[in-house]
Amino acid sequence: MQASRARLFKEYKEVQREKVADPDIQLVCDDSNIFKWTALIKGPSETPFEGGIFQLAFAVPEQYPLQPPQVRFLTKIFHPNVHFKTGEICLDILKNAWSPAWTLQSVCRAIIALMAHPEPDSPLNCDSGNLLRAGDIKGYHSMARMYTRLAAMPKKG
Amino acid sequence: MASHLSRMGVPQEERPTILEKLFHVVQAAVPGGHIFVLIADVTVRLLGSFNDHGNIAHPLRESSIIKIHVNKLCFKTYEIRDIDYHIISSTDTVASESLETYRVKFIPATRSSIEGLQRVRLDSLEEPTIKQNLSCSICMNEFAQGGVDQLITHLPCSHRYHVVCIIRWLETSHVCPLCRYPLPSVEDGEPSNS
Repeated sequence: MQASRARLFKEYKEVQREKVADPDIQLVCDDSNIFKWTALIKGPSETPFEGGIFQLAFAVPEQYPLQPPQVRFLTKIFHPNVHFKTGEICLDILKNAWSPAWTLQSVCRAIIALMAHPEPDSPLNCDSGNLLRAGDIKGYHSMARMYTRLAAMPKKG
Repeated sequence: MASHLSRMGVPQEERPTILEKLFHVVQAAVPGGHIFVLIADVTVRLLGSFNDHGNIAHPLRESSIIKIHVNKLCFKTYEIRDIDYHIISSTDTVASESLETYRVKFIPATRSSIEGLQRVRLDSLEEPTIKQNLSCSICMNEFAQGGVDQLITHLPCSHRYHVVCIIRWLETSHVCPLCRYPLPSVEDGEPSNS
């Protein structure tokens, strides 16, 4: 518990210092609980998520960094590896491939990479995975684009 | 197509008209393009005599979207169910509770491989070695900022960590946090507490 607190405080200070360095990630710690964080990430360019801002929720376990943080999308997203209802993310580094050398910031970078490179063979969203597996890139792109517009972009007018 | 309409609760007698309109759009569409069709169930109530204009009493009581993918002569349809334009509620208790109890199961390193680690004091390391490995990747603290008596170790892959930090990790998982170099694990045959 004490180790996780110290480590998170270290990351907090690092985030304050690096804020300008990575304009695609805005990582914020809860005012009253260092184990709860949220992040705003920019959808990577040349993907259907481009132009969207996606919100992530982090729940950090007491065993951190020996156990990975639990991360999910709060913003609706149509992606093979994100559960459409719960926002749960299927990403190896958040499961068995976790290592304490990862940080909340680098996890955000990994999620941005996952958005650009979906893994349709381990889908949490079967509809999305099936489109890609069937080779219907246009179908996937237009669905993902529609949800980006609906959920991740500021409403116009 | 007809089954989609029936699942959406479109009355039997309305289906031919809707299908006819859909095919009309499909025929006019660019092959390979995408068409979004909004089918809305609208209740219309006539006010006054039959000559008066209709007035929509319940606009968009229920609506579904069918997406049609035109590809030469065949086409696929996808139905989007339960469209939620808003973000998922953060007070979704079921989801957060199940997350709280979730723990990843790693394979720990063997007791002997942990005990066999070389332990050295920071001040016995040469200056260039410390410069090369500035901080411990587990606690994120710089080696140089700690006391000279802190114990440092290195794994066979030569990555350095605080002894206390790496022991906690190796008791959880047998791979190097930085390069995944595997130490002997309890699954390799040797029991963890021998």
